[in-house]
Amino acid sequence: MLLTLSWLVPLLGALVLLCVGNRDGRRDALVRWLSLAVTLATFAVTLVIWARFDAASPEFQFVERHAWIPAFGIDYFIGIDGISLLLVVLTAFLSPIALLSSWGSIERKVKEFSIFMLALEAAMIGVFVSLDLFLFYVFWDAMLVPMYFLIGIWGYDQRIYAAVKFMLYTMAGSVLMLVAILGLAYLHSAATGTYSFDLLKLYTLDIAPQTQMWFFLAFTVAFAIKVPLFPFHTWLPDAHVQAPTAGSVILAGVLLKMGTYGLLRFSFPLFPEAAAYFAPGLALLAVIGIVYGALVAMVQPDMKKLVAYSSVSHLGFVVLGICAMNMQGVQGALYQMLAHGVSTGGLFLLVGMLSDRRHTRLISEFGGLKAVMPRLTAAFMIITLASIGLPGLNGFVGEFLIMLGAFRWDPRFVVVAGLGVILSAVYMLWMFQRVYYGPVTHEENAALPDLRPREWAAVVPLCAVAVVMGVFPTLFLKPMEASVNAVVQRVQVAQTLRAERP
Amino acid sequence: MFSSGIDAVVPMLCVTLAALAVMGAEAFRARGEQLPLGGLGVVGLVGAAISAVLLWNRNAVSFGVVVADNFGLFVTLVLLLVALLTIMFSSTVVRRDGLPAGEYYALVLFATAGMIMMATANDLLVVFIALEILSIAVYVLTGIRRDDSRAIEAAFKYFLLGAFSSAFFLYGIAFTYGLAGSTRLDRVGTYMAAQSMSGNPLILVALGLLLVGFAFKISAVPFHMWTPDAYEGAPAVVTGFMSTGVKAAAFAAFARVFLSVFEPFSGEWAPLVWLLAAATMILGTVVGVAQSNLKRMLAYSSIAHGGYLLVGLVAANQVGKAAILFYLLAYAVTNLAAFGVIALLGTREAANDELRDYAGLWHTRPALAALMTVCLLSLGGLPPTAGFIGKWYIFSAAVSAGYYGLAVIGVLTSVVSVFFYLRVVVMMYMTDRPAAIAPPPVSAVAMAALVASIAAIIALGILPTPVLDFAAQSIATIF
Amino acid sequence: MTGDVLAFWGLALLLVGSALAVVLSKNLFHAVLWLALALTGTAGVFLLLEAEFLAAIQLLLYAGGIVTIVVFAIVVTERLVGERISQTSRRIAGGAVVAAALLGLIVSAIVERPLAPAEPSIGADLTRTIGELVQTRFVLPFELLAVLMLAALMGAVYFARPDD
Repeated sequence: MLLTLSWLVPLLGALVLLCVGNRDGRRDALVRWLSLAVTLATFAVTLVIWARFDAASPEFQFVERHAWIPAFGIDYFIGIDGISLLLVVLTAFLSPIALLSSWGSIERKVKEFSIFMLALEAAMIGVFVSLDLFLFYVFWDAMLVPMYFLIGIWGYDQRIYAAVKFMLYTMAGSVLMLVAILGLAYLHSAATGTYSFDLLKLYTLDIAPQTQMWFFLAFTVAFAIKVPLFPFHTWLPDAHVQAPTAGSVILAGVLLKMGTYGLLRFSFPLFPEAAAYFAPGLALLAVIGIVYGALVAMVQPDMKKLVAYSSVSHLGFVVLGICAMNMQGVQGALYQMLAHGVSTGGLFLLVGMLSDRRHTRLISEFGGLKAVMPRLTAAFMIITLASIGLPGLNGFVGEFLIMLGAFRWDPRFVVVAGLGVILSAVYMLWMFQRVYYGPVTHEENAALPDLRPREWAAVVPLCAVAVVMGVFPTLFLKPMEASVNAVVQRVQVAQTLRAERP
Repeated sequence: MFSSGIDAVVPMLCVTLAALAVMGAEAFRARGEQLPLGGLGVVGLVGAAISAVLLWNRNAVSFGVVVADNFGLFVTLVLLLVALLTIMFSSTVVRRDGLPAGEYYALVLFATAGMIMMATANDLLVVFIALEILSIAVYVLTGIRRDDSRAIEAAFKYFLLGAFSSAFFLYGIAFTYGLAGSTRLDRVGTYMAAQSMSGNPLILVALGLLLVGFAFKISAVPFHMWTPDAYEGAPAVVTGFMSTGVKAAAFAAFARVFLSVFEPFSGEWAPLVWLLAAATMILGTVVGVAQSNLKRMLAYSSIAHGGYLLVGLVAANQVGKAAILFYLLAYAVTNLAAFGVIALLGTREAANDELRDYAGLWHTRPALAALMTVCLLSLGGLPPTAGFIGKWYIFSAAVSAGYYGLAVIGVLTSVVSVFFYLRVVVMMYMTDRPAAIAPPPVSAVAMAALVASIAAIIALGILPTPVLDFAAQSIATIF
Repeated sequence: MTGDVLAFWGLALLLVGSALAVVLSKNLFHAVLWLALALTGTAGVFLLLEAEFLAAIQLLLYAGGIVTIVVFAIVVTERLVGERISQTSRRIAGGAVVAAALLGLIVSAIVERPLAPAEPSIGADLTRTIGELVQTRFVLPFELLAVLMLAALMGAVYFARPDD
């Protein structure tokens, strides 16, 4: 019941908001506080789940199962393990922050905005907790709708183009996954006589190598678009740049992780043989993405775009770690997912605060802000360093583990990926320098207000988590260990078993 | 030879009586007097629905040519729902546009009676007469705005091509009769089963002609030419009625004839229907993208939806048959509601059915915009809507029958279709209204119908199990 | 036997020729006359098949009734419009190709496997039997035709009546 609450609370919150009469924005304040309260309550629920989570067990916990569409073997089947637990917590953690960030910038149709944010949160958590492929697909697709509206209604100038592109790209990928899901269920019925979308049952299916290849590709293209893996990334800069700040935070913080989560939860364990076959190719795309994203980020004049491309680069690391499919690699990938959620979410948040004040995001429009807004500068510094992967902050642990894991698998990738680490320091610090150091080049900037209390409330938790994740990595590595081990074992065992087969 | 009871025709009888009552009331109406003619129709429809429910599981046969099996009754109930919603939407439109209420409601009811007959007919002759009843009524309904030259053109085109397709259908019946010596489906079925190995080319001729006739009625590509013009020219509420009712009835008869009588020859017709389905899905969506008139866009969209239904027919397994039924229901409710919104936004002076007329609808009519959005999402097959479950069902049928190619075409075309459905959403939500033209007020009855449809769409999307079971039961007794 | 065959081919040629003339003649009035001939030819085919009742109906309803109505319609319309209306059939080549393809298909099928001649199952008094059948076995289709007529009549009246 607890796990159901984690996605039901925001959904019910959205329904309650729907009933709040808010003609001409008269009750905006009430709507804002109410939605914040709902997201905080959700966060509390996920914290309780984390507290009660048994880190030693690799099994799915908080499992709930009810028959839903029995004719098709579809169950309402949810549960979490160490892989999804922290992603759920991350989602619930970022949502109130994203909402807070919108208090200054979203002025019109606040009620609808909040409804879409809450619906989005519900769908995102739903994606992470679903263990039934049907349920998963429902949440996966349902999530597109609120995001589409968030970008399309409250975004910047090119918002419609970005929103439609986001929606169509993601859908085009996911419908092929739909066919593969149906194919899996059919294979299950061919093998056992009943349809099933139960992930745990499907894990045990023995699928012919040729079929695995097709299904793996269908699933992986859907996830690769979401990640986004080079060359499927072209929707991302548009969507990130055009989305309102809250949308960008969620997009970078959570949505991208669904791609890598999908690889880890579905593509690799369901089709281990195909995974072994395609992993080097995926890893190649990942390292291309790492370097490409970094190089493109370097030349961006727009801060938001820079951060967007840095995501392409950072997510490349995650995919590399997953492709390595060993303990270090996967744990690092998972850690990097969390760290990237916090630090890139933070970067979008801070860039959004600057752009709220100046209505521009061009780096050249800023300069010397250190003296004008020291607190924002400090926060930006912490998050920037975290994003680069400075030891002692959250980014380091993940990147280090990924490199370690990838090195044990295939050192060649590590060499190229290492280049990406250096480049990330270059573009992030260069941006920081241009924006915050030097003299104040534009007089409009001289009188910009520093962080307001509301903004403090959004920024401080992010910085704090960035530090905690850097200093006490075991706090986060511990719960994921058993489950990661289980996945790695499952994939490796399946691969060796099938390699021995005549 | 035939059971003497008339049980199986009672639903159709109720609707016909209601139509006669409407005609009678209209004839004796004093000039200027307002009569609740739509209400009379509703009474008939409700009576028909009750009788259909009572007939459930009884497999009643009347006159040897009509069977009220569960399959037919399921479609009958869908058709009654379609007619009910149509009448509820019409109340506003008839008054606003000054349509002749008596003729209008009587024709809607006659068409419904024809549809019901078509769905339950067990004899090709009756299928044909039923087809003509519904067609004649719908031709007139298409041109019910006599003073609108576009409507008249649409009606005329529809009439000519409809007559043309009827000829094909009739020719097919003639060949079937020549071969089997009967038009009764059960007897034809026995004959066909015995001849399944004979390789008689005349059977294929009969099959092909019937296929063409049905393909016209469900507007499958390349027999769809009449659809966009007819759908665009007709009043929106009539378009909603015919894009759902006619399609459902024709599909029911199509499925009945091809899945039972010509089942032994599925090896011959399945590849043809495969091609029809693929062409229909692709053309319907691709051409739909280029439309700027909402009615025309939805016309192409409904062509494409016919293609999805054909996928279920090709798959022809238990899943596919039940999927057709579920999809018919989901599609009927959704499409009808979408056309309902279009109809309710029109005024006597302007149809307001161009895409640009929807700019900023969110600000002037937030409720209608939201309802329309749900319809469009359902048509696009996004969860949690009925359209999503319908597509899921259809494509699982295709996959489990091994038609991966068709499933892939289907899902990709639904992405393309989402593109044009989103254009409407973009207009409603993300574009500002150039000039503040307040849309006309919406009557309570029409609004209730809309809200009920949307509730049904979402309910079917979240808890489809009862209806899925119902659909599965419906096909269990036959085929 | 040969007489039957000769008569069939004669009638068939007459039918096809006059039907083609209906679609191809520019003058609408001529087209109607060709139509009358085609319909009469059909009656001839029915006679040849020993379906006297059908032949009579065909003559009465179609060659008699329908053709008269069509002539009326043309005359009235021409008076309303005030000029001669001529037939404007287009894309004749395309139509010919489709028709020829369909014909080829059906003919090839029939040549390969001729239809067995249906056995006459009707007793001595043909008209009486038909009347009985319409009252018994085909009562529902018959009644449905009434509904069809009603709907068609209503539509026709609706389009034809003047505005109130």
